[in-house]
Amino acid sequence: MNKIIDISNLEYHYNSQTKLLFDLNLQLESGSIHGLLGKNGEGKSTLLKLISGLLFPINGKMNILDYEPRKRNSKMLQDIFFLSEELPESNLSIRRFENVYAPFYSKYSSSKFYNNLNELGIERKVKHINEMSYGQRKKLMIAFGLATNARLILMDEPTNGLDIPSKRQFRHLVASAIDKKSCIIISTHQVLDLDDLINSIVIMDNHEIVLNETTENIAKKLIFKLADNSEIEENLIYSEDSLRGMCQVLENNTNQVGRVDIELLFNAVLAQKNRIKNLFSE
Amino acid sequence: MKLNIRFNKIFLLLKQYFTENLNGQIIYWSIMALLFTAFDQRGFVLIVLYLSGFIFTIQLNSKLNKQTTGMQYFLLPASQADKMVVSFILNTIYYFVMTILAYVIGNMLIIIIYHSILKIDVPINWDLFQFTIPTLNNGIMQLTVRNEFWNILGTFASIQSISMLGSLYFKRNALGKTILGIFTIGLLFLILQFLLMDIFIGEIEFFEKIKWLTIIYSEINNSSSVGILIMKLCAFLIIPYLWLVSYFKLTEKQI
Repeated sequence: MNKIIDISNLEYHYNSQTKLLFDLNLQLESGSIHGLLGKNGEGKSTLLKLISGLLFPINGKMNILDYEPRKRNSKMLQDIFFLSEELPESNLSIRRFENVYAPFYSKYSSSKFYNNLNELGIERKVKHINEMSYGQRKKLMIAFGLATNARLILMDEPTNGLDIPSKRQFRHLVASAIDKKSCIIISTHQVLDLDDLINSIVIMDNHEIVLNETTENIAKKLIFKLADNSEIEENLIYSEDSLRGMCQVLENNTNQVGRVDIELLFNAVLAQKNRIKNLFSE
Repeated sequence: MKLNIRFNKIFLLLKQYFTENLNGQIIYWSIMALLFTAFDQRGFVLIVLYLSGFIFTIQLNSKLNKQTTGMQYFLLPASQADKMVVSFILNTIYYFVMTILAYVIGNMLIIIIYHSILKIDVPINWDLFQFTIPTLNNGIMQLTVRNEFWNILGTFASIQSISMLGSLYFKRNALGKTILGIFTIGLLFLILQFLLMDIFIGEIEFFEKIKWLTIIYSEINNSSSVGILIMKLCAFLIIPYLWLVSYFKLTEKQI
């Protein structure tokens, strides 16, 4: 595994009064799909823009794929694909679009692009991309992004605008696109869409990274379970009411490894930040 | 400073621009050709060249200030130097050549219309780069024709370099702000010249000052002495300087 992202003491703000990111440290390795979670306005999209060189840090060091992103090196850009929430307009057909943009990416695979399109149910013979719906355009960009074979793929709210079957196809495509050399970061509010997809979770709160762990490690340290309302256990970290009963997050004192409930984990981290931080730093 | 320029990337960026904007460009240049068919006077064509070129550059770079198009531009795998070279090719070389082509087509259309419809043969009007100066020699009026190609190209390139910097510098209303900037600098320059005239010639009326300036600039323009040529060449050095500043501004631009 190679370190694809190495950020230390990153500071960024849009105006000097309000600091958006402060003393942020983040190291991410290749071969993983990382879920970047956080409330609105925490700076998730800003962090993705800083990683891709669209914004420049005020302070701190950033090393992305062994490049300094603010220099926007051509070779670095060949290895980064950023799927933003807002999609660019284009009056080209899909074939023309591929013909124009694919040659910029040296590892691009045309067959992969058309396979991805098929899987996502996009017709090749669309006259103009502008005539496609937002969801269809998003699928097109996902198919293209994965076909670039870029080592770092950044996705900002990729499942917004996708229908339910497409979300499943999206998960399947992304899971099959990852290899030992590449890394995918998915920033989203819709945590359920990441279920069974990501193998690393990064949670931002109060403009800092409060959790950066693999799902495997999380499952080793925490148990997520549905309990009877009256049941309160000693190792309980967090609980919340639901229609099904009491959802609980507990310290895992056993050797058993269970399933990670991302939504519950997110709520637990926000409510018991220090306790969870201490648990993982042990 | 290491400029990383690769021809294949420049070619790809140009291909991207023309493929995305093909229809718009065909319509635009057809309108220009028709405009020059109706109005082919040298002065009009030059004003259209300078003014529309200025607006074209501002329009071309307006995408950099929009979220989606700006992101798409900066994330395209090509160096910033490649992107700057493409901007120069588009707004200086391409726009100049296309305007000349539209002018030629416009003139040819005039000839065709007169010849085939009105059955009148009109001489070809290719005087865009020719400037006629009437001079009095021993009481006889003589017309001297001077080639103005380099002067026109230099002026156009200067305007384009100013609009390039303006469109990168100002985030909103770049057109208005750049024009305002040019007027402000021009006004300051004029005031400076008036002050210098007050010092060297003495205090004279406003209209006298204007008259003096007109004579001085006309002399400079018509002179072919080595000193004046070097001065003109130095003035055109502002073009690479402004492009260099624009390049640095582009490298600092954030979305």
